[in-house]
Amino acid sequence: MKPTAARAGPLAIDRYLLPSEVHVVRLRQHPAFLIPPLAGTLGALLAAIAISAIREGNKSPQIIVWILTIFLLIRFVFTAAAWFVQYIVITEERLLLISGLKTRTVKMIPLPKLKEMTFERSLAGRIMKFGSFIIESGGQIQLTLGYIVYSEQLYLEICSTIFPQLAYNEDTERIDESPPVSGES
Amino acid sequence: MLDVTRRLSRSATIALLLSPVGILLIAVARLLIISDYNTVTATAIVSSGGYVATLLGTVIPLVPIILPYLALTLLFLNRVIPGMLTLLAAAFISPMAVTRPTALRLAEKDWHLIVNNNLVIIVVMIVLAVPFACLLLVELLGLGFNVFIKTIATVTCILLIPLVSRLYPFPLDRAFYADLMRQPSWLPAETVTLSSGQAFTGYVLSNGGNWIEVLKDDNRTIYYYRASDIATLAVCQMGQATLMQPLITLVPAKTHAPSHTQPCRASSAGRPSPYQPRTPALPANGHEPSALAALDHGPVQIAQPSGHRCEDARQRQQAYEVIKLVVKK
Repeated sequence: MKPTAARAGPLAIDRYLLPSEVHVVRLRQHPAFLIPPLAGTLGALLAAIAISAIREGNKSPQIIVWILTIFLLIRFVFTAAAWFVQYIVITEERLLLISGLKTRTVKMIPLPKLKEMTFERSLAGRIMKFGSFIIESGGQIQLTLGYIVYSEQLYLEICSTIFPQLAYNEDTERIDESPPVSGES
Repeated sequence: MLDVTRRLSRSATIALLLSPVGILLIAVARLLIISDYNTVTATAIVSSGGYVATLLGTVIPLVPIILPYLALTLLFLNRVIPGMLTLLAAAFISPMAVTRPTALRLAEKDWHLIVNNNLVIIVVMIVLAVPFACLLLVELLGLGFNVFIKTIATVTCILLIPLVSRLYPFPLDRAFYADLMRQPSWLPAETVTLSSGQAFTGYVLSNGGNWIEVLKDDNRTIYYYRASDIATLAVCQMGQATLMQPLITLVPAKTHAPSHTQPCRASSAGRPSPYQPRTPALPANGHEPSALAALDHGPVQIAQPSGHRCEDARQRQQAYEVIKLVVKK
């Protein structure tokens, strides 16, 4: 219905949207998502270089160490690539989590279901500006969307999509029109 | 690729292998190897020792060997608490290839080698160590202790590999596993000396009064000997005895050498045993040949090829008495 500039996103995303569907928000997860695999890989690389200094005895432990380090390195590269192609898209009707490097997966949650959603911001999230949405259904966690950038804005955006009457109603106007608090009583 | 570690940790195959069904299958396979793939001998061993002994006997010898490596695997797969518990268990029960002071010296020597490395490598290590430390700090302060400890576990696993491989060398020799699999480890190997003075190595499956059931080591055949025919039974050590202690001992370290078990006699596989019965196997009807064998003061061999085995020692004793009377007449 509303062909907007918002549709001008990556083709990979548009492929999963209906012709009449408009994406309100489209974002990647925060790069902090890559911290744990990066830390593991760096630590393993450091350990492998240190162990290579031990030139005594059997060489097979060193070979095993390097194989494991290379495995962690490859895993990190794959994680980074998977992070790069993973998108969270919110339209007026649903939330989509498009992910997968080899096998493309599109998870879909209708927006009314997001009424049972918890918004969480850890200390690191507050410092690095990301948060988590925990989507529940019937008291059980259905999906955890971690490392969401601009999470506060996104939370408000979701709320305004789900409850449009709260976002744009007379109350807003009333607040705007309300007289300023007169003095300190 | 992303999910390799997750898939491994949730693998249905590993769960099956570790389940009672898996352990039972492993125990059955091992029993067949012990009995030279003869199902009759395997059944006889089980009937003498019981399933529980067989299962435990299969698992127990492997536990001290694989425990340190299992701990490293668990740490690498980010199973931190089970990994730490396994590592602790290994420190308590897995015998080390070197003494405790030597192990400490090894660690010190390794550290010395790392620190006194080439200057370029030291610089590279510092360059890597700084961002690593920063990332660890971010993990600890922001992402949570669980994420932090998982990274530490992965790095610790990699750091420990050379040390563990020297403290607990994984036997790569094929003969080691062949010997381990062939020995019924829930029974001690014994040197059986007959009253005639001849001796051989075997495993006493049961010792029920008048008759002793022995699995001979060389030809993996079960023999029944009259108790009076056996002069001595002495526990012996197959292969080399392990005299090393684990890293942590609950009792104070011994000041003297551990007691030494006599080595077993060399296996005489391939040549006929002087105690091989003259009749190679019992016929299906049973008692008479076994009684004749007993009369001949030879052992009673279990009837493997025909699939029949002697009933029990009491029946054989009765048959023996009957035949003795017949011969006297």
